[in-house]
Amino acid sequence: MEPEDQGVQPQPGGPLLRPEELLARPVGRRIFLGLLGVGALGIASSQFSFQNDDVTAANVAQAVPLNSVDLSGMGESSIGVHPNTVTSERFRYYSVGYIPDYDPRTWRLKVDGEGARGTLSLTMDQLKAFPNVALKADFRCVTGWRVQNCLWRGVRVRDLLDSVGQNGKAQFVTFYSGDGVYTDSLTMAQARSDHAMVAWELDGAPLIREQGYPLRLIYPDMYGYKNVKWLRRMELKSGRDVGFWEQQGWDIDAYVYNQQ
Amino acid sequence: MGVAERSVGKARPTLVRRFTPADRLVHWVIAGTFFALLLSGLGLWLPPSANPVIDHRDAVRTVHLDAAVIFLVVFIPSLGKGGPLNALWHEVEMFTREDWAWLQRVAVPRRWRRRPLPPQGRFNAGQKLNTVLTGAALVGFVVTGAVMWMGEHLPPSLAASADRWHLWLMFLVAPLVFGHIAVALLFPSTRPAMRGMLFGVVRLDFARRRHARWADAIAPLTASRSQSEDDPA
Repeated sequence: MEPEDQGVQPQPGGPLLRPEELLARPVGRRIFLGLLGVGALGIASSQFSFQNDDVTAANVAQAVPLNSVDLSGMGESSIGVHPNTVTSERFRYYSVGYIPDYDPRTWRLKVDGEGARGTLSLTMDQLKAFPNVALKADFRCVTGWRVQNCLWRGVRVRDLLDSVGQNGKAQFVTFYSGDGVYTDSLTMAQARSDHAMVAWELDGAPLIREQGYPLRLIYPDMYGYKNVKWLRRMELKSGRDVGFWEQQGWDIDAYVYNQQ
Repeated sequence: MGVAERSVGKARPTLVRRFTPADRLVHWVIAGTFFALLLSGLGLWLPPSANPVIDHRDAVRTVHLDAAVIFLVVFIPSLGKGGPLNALWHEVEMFTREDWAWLQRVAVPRRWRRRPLPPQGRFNAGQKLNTVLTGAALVGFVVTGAVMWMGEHLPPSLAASADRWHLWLMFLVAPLVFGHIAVALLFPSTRPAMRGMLFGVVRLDFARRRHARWADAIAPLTASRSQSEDDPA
């Protein structure tokens, strides 16, 4: 017997409702409803905290001088421990198929298509020999999360297009992921923008596998699903390909700001 | 020990019915889907360096959504009139003076407790409070989960807010659930309650010790344990 039991004297046959129960109050109901109210307020107010995002076409990204980028990096060994994976505001990783492996001996970035004058087939080292640019921008997912001030390093899509050469049929660029499933496309004007780049580095470290290692498209004017990961091919075309998520109803022009 | 127990002999303690088969079915479906949701939710949330299933996100997401659907299919009808959760709710939403006293006294370690814990009904005040908190959190999970699920059709700020609260709710509810399991499995004085959720019945002496108001109000089942298990009551 435990100490607290001693005061309890069972009384078989007692009344079903005791005075204590008649005096019972719906406290649980009040707590429950109160919590729902607090929760609704919380969601509404923290929604407000996400809303002060006055992003415009002018401020969506800013070029950063390369000499200010920390190139010390952490080397290839840092794959999987990227700083952006441990902060509270961090990337979520989505993929629609498997994550393709990277083999530097066989990996190439192809640039070709009916709108191209020639064909490029670049190793990672050849790609990195193009003029490097660094771009600082928030990364926004269409599902709502965002990671602020990502510093991407890579090469402008425009420079690759100029290198391969365009003809009159080059109206769109389709970007192919190495997973064999995922594609997306940009208009030629979008692809030639200052902000469209193929990036291999984030915040001074190589991309991690889940984030598109070794190479992904970055176009911060649009939501993340336009930013094809594990990029392997860019095809210059006269017609527009409808990308993976766009076939499921998402916007083909996924701007993060209102276009005026 | 209790008088009633002696009257049927030592080998067969008197049992009283605490949960109906419907109660237990709903409990175990919710428990199963909760853990499916918790584990798959962690698989969707953990960073790559600590996530063994990151390469199978689509499958994990399917598990999470399917478990949520199974949960709702059981949860919502059982809230309806005559359903197990409807009855449970009417019991836990009412707090008596004894419930308040119980909450105050139970916070004091038993060694220093000056007055005994007041008698309790079928659920003690802690169980009532746990049910209310968990219930409110479940509503929160459903609402924020629905917002996340339809996220692309809603303002991104609302989806982001729902995402954040869905996560915080997990940190609120997981300790409640693990506390519930610890009390059911680890502590000898409360462990007899487990029998109630497994077989529907608890020992009368346990009921009198822990839930005296309830024990007083019900007629003990004089049947043996094996008979009472088959009895749907």
